[in-house]
Amino acid sequence: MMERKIYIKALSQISLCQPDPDYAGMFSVMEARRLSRLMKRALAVSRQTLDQAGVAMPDAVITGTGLGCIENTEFFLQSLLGVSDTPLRPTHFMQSTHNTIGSLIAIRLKCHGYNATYSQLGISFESALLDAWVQIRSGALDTALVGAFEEMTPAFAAILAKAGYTGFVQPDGRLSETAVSMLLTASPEGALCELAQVRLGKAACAEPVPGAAVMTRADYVPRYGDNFSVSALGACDAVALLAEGPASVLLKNDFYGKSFADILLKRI
Amino acid sequence: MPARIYITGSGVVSAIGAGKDATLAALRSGATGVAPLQYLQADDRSFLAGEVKLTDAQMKEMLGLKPGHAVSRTSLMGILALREAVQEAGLGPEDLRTVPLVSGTTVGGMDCTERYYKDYLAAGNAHSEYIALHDCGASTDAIADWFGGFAWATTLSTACSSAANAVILGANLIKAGLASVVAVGGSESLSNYHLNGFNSLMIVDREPCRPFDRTRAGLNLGEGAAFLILESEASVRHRGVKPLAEVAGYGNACDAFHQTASSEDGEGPFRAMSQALAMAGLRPEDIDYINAHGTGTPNNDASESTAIRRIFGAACPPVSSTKPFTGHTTSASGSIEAVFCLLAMRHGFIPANLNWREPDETCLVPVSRLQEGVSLRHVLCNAFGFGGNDSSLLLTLAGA
Repeated sequence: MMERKIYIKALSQISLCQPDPDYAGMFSVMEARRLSRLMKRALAVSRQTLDQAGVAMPDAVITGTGLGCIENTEFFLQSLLGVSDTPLRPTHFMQSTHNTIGSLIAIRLKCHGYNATYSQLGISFESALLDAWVQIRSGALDTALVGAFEEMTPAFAAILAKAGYTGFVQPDGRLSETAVSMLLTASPEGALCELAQVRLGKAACAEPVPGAAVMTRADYVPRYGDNFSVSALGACDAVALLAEGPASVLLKNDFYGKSFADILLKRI
Repeated sequence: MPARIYITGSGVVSAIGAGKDATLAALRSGATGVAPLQYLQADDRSFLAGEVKLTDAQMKEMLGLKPGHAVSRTSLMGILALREAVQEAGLGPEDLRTVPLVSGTTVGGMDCTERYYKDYLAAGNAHSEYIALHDCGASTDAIADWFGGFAWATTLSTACSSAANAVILGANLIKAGLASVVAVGGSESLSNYHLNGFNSLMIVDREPCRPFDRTRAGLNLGEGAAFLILESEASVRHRGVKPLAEVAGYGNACDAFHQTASSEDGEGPFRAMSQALAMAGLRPEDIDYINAHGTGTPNNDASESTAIRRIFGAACPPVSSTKPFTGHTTSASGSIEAVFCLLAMRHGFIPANLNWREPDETCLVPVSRLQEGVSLRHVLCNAFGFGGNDSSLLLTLAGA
């Protein structure tokens, strides 16, 4: 069986450390009103990543999100339960399913390729990466636009805090959110690094990787705050770290002792 | 020679029964599970739905869980279905530690969230043990935990194609050599959230759904779960188990048209089915039966019919939608209907597309009466989701 290597060609992010771009000119007035903050961000980082990579049309759009469009979910739920006076709006329901984001990206690109969305707590991003990794390795895909998207609301952050998900609100009251887009390819040409391994589960990369710098949540959560997709921001940091010295970086993700994943990145 | 993916176990829970025996009997007798709401705590109980005919308390008892155990209905149904699949495959708790679990859901623990949300918002910790059950992944983890854990678990959430996509990831993991056995499927409970959501989109029929019928006016929602055990050829040989069928091909394509509507030309479904055929190395005339997505909405059934006609032309194999039996089981439909296909192949029958009476020129004519004594070697099973997430599985009877 043909087994190819997988590379990260381009990436971009929006987070507490990387503010939103100017959306004026990106969307019509109508769209700007209809699309949620997270959907705008997803479209913006996807566009930026594809432009950087010089790829017009990816073979696949693969997305990870722990909570999906939680703001629209909250709107619809509050209307349904009479917590808010807003009548039930079909748009809130329609744009609350987790795959709304990945579908929107595909609809914008008119991308008929493989499309999937993963929602597995703090390893939703790594699940999406694994899917892309497996399919690029086998030759089923040449390129995949992999994204990690998370938004948070004050009310839902307070609810999650009761369940032990502390750290979703920064000490200064800001909510941590993630929008990351990466273009994965089978070609090393112009790539940022190799995505050598993606492993899910507690026993992920049990064997130590000689010479690899190890990054954990403690290395990036203080910068970005915490959310279900924050490990994608950690991966952005790991790619940057590779440029400074280590030949490889092992990114270990232990999400509240509930979900585990490892990613191994190698300098080309 | 591409790697072969075998199915060595299957389990199902839906409105027509818990387990394959009850399911088979209902599919053959034509007994629908769609009825006025009885189990969901809803303000408006006049909606028709395909509810699993078990309360949460009954399922907890069947599974040896304490009455006060905080668990979503999605997880309970999932455990029931996966238990049947694991037993059929002859896998013990030790075996499962090397088996990844890939499930599909979109509702996840929304049944708990909508029940206790006001408590969550209030001061204090009333019902706070249910909060962490909200998200999709948590419902999969709860399924895994009941079995004492799997190697790892992840969750596809592509709306109504979630479970079909779980099958696809599982097959790809085996082909990549990352696993030799994978448990795949999906689970989805009814919730007021999505019942009202679908209703707000004006695609819920107050009458029994009638896929492909001229008078069709929408879907009835359903719930349930189904899981398959996928296994590599080497593992089948090593364990000495008898495969039920093969996942010979699959396709996933995006309609890239609209968040909730399907394109007129059925481009997404056309691509998904075409890819499945190409991967299996089969021609359209090799397909003996198509279990259609066939939700009963005017839009889906016309789009799916167009896609099927584009591939099969005048020589269309028998097609039926089993949604009138179960309601639309949304994220779980892909795996539930795959189990229906396994039963149909094994026992040589084609389940009826119940409630169909009048032909519609935009739609194909489905099999409206049970057909017995047929030989089904290769079948297609379609599952399409919001956002145009369209998937198709091609199953081949073992030894065919």
